[in-house]
Amino acid sequence: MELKKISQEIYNPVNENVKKLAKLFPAAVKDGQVDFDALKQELGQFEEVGKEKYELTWPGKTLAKQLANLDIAGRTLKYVPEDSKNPETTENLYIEGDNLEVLKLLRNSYYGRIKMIYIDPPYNTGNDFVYKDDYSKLKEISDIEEGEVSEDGERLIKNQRSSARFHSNWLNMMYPRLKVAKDLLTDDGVIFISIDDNEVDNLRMICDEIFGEDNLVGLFIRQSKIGGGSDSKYIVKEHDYILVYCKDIIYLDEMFIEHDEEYLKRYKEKDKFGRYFWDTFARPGLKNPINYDIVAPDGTIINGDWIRSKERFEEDLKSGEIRFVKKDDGSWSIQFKQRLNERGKKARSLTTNFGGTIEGKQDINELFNSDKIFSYPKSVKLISNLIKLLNDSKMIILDFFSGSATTAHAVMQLNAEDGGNRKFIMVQLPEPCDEKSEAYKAGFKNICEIGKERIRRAGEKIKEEFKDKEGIENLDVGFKVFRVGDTNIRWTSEAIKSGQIRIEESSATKDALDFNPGFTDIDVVYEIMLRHRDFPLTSKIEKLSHIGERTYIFADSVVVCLEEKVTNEVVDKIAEIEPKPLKVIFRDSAFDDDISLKINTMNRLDVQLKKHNQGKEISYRVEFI
Amino acid sequence: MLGVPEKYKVDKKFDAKIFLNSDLTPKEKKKFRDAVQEVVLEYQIAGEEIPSIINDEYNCQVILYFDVKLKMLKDSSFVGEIMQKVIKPLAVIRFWSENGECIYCLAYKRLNLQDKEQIVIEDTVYSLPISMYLPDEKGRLIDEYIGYEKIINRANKLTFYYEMFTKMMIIANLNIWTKGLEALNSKVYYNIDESMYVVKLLKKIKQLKFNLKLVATMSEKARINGEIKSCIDTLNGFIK
Repeated sequence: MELKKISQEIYNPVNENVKKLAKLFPAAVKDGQVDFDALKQELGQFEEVGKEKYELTWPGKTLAKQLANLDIAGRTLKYVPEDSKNPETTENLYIEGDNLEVLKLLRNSYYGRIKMIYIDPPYNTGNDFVYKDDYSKLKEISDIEEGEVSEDGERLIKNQRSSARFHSNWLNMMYPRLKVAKDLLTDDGVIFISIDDNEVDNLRMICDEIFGEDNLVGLFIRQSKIGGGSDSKYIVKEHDYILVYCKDIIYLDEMFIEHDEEYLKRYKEKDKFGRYFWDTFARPGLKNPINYDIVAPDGTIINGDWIRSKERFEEDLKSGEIRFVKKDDGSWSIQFKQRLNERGKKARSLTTNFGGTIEGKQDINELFNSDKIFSYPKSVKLISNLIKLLNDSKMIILDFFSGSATTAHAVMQLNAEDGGNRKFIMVQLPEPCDEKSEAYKAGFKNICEIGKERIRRAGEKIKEEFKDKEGIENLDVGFKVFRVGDTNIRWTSEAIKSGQIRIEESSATKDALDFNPGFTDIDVVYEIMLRHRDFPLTSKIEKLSHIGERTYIFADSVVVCLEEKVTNEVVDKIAEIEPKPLKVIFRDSAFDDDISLKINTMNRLDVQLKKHNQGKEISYRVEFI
Repeated sequence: MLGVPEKYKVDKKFDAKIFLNSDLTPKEKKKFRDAVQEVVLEYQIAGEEIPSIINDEYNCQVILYFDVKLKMLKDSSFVGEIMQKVIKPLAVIRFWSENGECIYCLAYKRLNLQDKEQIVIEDTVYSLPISMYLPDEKGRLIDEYIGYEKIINRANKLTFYYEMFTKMMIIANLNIWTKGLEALNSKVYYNIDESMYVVKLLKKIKQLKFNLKLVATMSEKARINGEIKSCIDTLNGFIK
């Protein structure tokens, strides 16, 4: 018996008319809106055809494109040491925040550095929450968007099927994220996207547009469950999809998955070139048979349809790849060494053993003693299989819909198994857990808390499982946590401009002049690091206490001197640093308005650096904030 | 030279031609002849006051000290490479010219494992040019730490020579390891394996510094800087 809830909808005559129109002319109503051109065509009125072109379009597409390119001003990532694990040594990241903002912030440091992206976005089933992006920066469209953000300003909205922009909302969310994500991929990088029937067609079309049709690697059809489904009205769905695109197919290596035990049983023989089995050389029934005579050891001439050319046969015979076996009836069997491809076998689009929902729940259950902590988690096995396809044990793997952090779990697990050094970056919006949910009752206020706790527990569990394996103590089960926040630095003297501070007061409140309220020195250093191209956020930051209380160096290369006064002693000690820094950053305010002091200080730094370099010129840069 | 006692004095002049062999091209021979004005074997540390070492890898029965007058000091490395190859024992060569500067050259050699009559030069070190008449910091350090009486590891002639070699390497590279000054007073020379590791790290830093000039991106430069930092940290660990 179906227990229906009272409809929350109130009769809306326009919607009802649209529905009637859709019944009559399905082609004239698209995603809940009337396409008047299509309606005219249904009524026999055709406009000129010159405007037609092949593309997927929807209300808001141009804005979504603009949003992808919109600069990320005034935002940064703030380090959260209390939530991090092994921050001194780890190369993994967990970032909390709107994934579009995070992707844009990462674009500087990780441009072209991510080998693999896996995402499991909302499937748009009618009950999913999708990100409602902030278009306020795009002035010309602000009016259109007004009223579309929820009353309390939340940017995560429930995208119900009854919504007039059901597909458009989802596409508007996905398009800019995928567009920015592409920038992060290496030239041979690959993105795997889990999706189901609801949006697979639309997703494929926008991916064709963003990545290029030629860069479609394939579409896995994954068996996600077996059995059940009595509540399905027509066809029981037992699958979803994994859409695979690459940045540039020219650079993409072949993909293999490991052989299963059953398959390997055939390859019983072994020589210096690897495993093989003896296979029959004769192949009757071939479409294009290769027919020639072969002379057996006793002089018998055997004619047949063979698997390989005569030239190849002769080569293989010489090198011992072919043998003649006399059968019981006296005839000859010609056999060749069918060799095992050690890298594995080619992946097949139909996958029944990639791990489904049940395995995903089991993974969660093993860590939290409850499989209800997170709904529909992907399995570690699935992500591991996808990672293995790329044959790169050192790559960075990004998941910007990381949910319960299965991807991080899979990365650590696989590294433990094969000794790899893959790194992960998890990104997740801190979506609040429903107060009635098991997760909330277990103390998790939002999804990020579940994800982080899962990584902590999974890391310890993996270390325990592999405790006897050599080198397991080096397994990176740590992660640094960052949270999207407002910039720490007043990049322009807006404090003065806005009248918050008068210039004459600035010497007394230099911090207020340079930084926003609530800043910390470490946050400032990380923000500066983020704005330097190619420095991973996991780069080491050291406090140079012997120079001053507010002087730091990151990546052994960039000195950030936040001292309010730059004395000769500070300069001399910076010049003594070994190896010589590539860049030194000072605060402009440290020199007040005294240009001569600034020039003198820079000259001193130059002289001291040269002195410590035996009088030789040294290449470095000085910048100011 | 370098405070070697007078009992080891030889003061024997050599004709530069004896260093020319068939491995050299006519052009190189001419350059060598034009560059070298005088070769004098000043000292020869022989005898067993500092024990000799003879085994499968080394045959160190003497240490030679040469004084070589060059027309121009810039030819030191060219001449040094040829001479060190020809002189099979461990040798200290001081190149000098009439402009009043000198350069020391030391080479760490071992026996060729296939042919024990031949040597293989593993490493060569040249000092920076030193003023012979004016006060000179580098010269002071060389006199203070590489002079005969200052060498502490006299277990055999190889350890004696390698201590000079390591210290010369440190003095010549103080720009890449300022704590090298402290290392000159350390006890790292008591262990030849540690000394060799110090030399290896200094050479690695020099190579990394060279690579630093070749790369364009900040991230690559930072990666190299990180490696240099790691080498320096290891070197600092040797200062005892």
